[in-house]
Amino acid sequence: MTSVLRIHGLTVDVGGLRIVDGLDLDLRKGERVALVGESGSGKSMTARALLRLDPSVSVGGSVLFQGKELIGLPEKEVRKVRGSQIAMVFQDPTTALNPLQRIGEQVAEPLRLRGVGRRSAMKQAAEMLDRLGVPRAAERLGAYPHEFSGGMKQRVMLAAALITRPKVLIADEPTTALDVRVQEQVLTLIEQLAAEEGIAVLLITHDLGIVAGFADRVAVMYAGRKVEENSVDAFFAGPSHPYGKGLLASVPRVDRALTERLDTVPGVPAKPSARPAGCAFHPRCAAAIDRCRTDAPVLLTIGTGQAACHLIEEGALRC
Amino acid sequence: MLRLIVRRLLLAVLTIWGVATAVFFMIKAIPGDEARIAAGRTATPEQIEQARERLGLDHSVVVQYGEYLQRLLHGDLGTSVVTFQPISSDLATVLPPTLELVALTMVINVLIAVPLGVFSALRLGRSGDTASRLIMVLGGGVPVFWLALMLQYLIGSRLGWLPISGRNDYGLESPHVTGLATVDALLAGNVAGFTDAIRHLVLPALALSAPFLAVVARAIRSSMVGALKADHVAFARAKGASNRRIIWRHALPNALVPTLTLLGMQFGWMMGAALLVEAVFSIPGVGTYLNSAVTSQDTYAVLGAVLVLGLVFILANLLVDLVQFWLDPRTRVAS
Amino acid sequence: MTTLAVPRFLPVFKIPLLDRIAYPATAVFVLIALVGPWIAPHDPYQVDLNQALLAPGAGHWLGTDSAGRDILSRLLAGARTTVLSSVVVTVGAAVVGIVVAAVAALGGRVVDEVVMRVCDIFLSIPGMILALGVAAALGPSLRSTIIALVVALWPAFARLVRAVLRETMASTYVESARTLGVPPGRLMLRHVLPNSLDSLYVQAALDVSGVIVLMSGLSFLGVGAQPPSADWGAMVADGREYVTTAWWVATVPGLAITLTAVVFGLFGDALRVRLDPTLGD
Repeated sequence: MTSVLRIHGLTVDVGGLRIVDGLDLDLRKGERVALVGESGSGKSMTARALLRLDPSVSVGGSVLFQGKELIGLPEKEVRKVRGSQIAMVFQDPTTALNPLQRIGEQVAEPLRLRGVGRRSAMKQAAEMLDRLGVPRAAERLGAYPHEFSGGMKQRVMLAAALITRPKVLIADEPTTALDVRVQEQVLTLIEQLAAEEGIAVLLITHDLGIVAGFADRVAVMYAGRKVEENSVDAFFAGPSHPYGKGLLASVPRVDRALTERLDTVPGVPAKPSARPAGCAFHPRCAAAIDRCRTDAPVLLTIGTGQAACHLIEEGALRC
Repeated sequence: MLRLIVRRLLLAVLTIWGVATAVFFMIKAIPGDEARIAAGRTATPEQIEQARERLGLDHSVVVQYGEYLQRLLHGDLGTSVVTFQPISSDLATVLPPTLELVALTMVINVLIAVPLGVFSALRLGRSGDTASRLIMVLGGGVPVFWLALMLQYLIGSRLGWLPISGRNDYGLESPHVTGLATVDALLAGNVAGFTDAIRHLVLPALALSAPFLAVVARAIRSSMVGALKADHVAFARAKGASNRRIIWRHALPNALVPTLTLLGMQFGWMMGAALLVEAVFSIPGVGTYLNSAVTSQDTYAVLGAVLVLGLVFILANLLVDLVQFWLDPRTRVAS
Repeated sequence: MTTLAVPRFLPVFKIPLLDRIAYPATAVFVLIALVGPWIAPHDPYQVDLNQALLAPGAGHWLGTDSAGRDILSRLLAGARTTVLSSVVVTVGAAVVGIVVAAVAALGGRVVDEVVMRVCDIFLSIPGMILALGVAAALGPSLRSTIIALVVALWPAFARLVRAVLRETMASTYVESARTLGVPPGRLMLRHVLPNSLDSLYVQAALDVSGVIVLMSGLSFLGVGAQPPSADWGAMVADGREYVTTAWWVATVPGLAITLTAVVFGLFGDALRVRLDPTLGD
């Protein structure tokens, strides 16, 4: 399988601070990859940087989309990719839809921007909304976002993102603002459509609970770096990195008694302004050794995946 | 929505009644014999007695208040002791020039403030922003009457580009229909008269707009900064919208809607501040009328003018509220 | 319009130039207002018709007016009245506003509604007009101008303070103080007001600037401080007839008003940015 999106050594700097530091990630056709991390780990910045959504942010490294380099591409060229080739949905559908514009207009916008006539664009918008399970879609094109529930608004946003049949969908915490029941529905919809259209999905989330049923592969970010990557099965069977282990241990599970206390990763995430030397995770790592405080670990291939931890090299960590 | 509109209307009526009541008590609060005040400084004892009888001043205050409201409902604001005309008809004559001036001021206000605020927001924290903010601060600090005087002197007298006083040059007046020089000229098909009327309004309107556009530009700047940070703007960008489209189609409309309330209030305030400009450019508007009424202690004329200006303020705000209901789907549909 | 400058993720730590000069400039103007009369090079009230309408030059840096009085000296003499009375007006309006808002906040729904409607009524008469009416009724003088402006400006303060008070009173710590049985008056004075003052300071600082301009407008119309006292607005009015022959008589005091109002306006702005960095302004 070929990569649609190949990220290599991606760096993101905001106001002189390095938020994302040399990220590598591959997204193959139709594949669903979850990028997981705590808030501040740089996962959302990665998503925004791929589309260069923030002009005041400087992005370095390489992002190959179907073999075409996006970094360094003039704004006008990037614009051609946005929406039509790589689409994105945001966390909160209430703030991400313009309250003053009609639903139809907002869903059809990517087509209208590409010169599709109004009537045809509206027709496709209705079809897309219909496919995403918005009832009476054609009649509701003239409605405004506030007339919709949160789940319906998220479907509207998905419709706007998918209407151009993009190759890649970046979903930045698409279910965080929704009820648990609706989360499930929205994820299933994304999964279905992605499968039908062969869309690769990059799911950005802090919620490992939704990753297991959705993604093919997981990448874990900590303090702007990828610390672990593996297939979902392998990851959930046993993470290689202490941070991945900690994250997994903090997910509530049905196969454990309710009386059992949930584990948490101790401490707070490293801030980009005060990233510890060596392995950024060492202050919170119970197994940290001297080397962790001085040398930054590199990614090592381990089993089906990769992890960046000195303990693996030292053989202290079994998977 | 209907309920909201009805509520607004009731509130407006209530406020108008409140302003009328406040004016009534202001009259009562002025020390001295009210009949003498109503009849004017030069009145003879008989005239004072006539005024006392006409105004029912021998009745109790409660009855007087009732009678006062009744007179107001019939449009009776009393008689000017200077012009000897009913104050209501005086006001009908002086209101159009001020309305015309304020209308043009509002146009200038929006035409300058919106681009300035947007520009400033786009250049946030950079030198373009600083320059725009400086203009805003200057506009807010410059006294209107002085700016009027300076414009009159420099552009009117020294450069001779625009007329320095009045509403129309001699011979270019149009027959009186609405009292608005521009509209009357158009109604009479008098193109030269229309251009002339506009030319007479430009300098006063420019001067009057300064403090108002400073406030609007600031409001636009900060709501635009907020709008540009909004998620829906990022989403529009992710959909492939150009910067220009993002600014004008996705951010500005959202930034403008809340500014409308401000513009509505400014309309009323401009009517008040107009008197400073009218004084400099000899425009026979409400301000000039009010000012001369103050000087000649024509108390009822002063209060009549205050009442009318309050009324204009309330109506302008009501209008803006209604427009906003219509523009913002969140309020339009909620019922 | 090539790029959108939206620092999305980090607040701007850099203080803009305008805000940096605001504090020292304000200090200088307050100082001038305080010592103005003593540093005047001439007697501001000395009439000398032989010296009338002299252009700015060596003897009189900013020229003389129609009565031959030194304009710079009159500006300095008037500075104190202008700045001090603006501060007095603002403080007066703020105090009235706070009291009214506190009453509204403590008095329950009906009182609150009535108070706010009364504010609406006052606010629907343009401030300039209300002030002019009151000042005229009281007889033209500096004192009536001050009273008139307080009358015109308190409702805006009352509204602002009420909004802030309501927000503060809804906060958890006030809620808990109330639950503990702190009496309303003490609650207001000790717990609510102190935490609501920041936006009041900003509004007050910005208002001083507005009051300077409003007040000069009233004295331009002749209802402010009476001759011969050196009042900036009245000085502009005096210079009106000579604007074509002696431009400086009207121009100089107008510039003084503008400059003073601008400096106090910048001060208010800077204060706002400092007290509420989240504004991002």
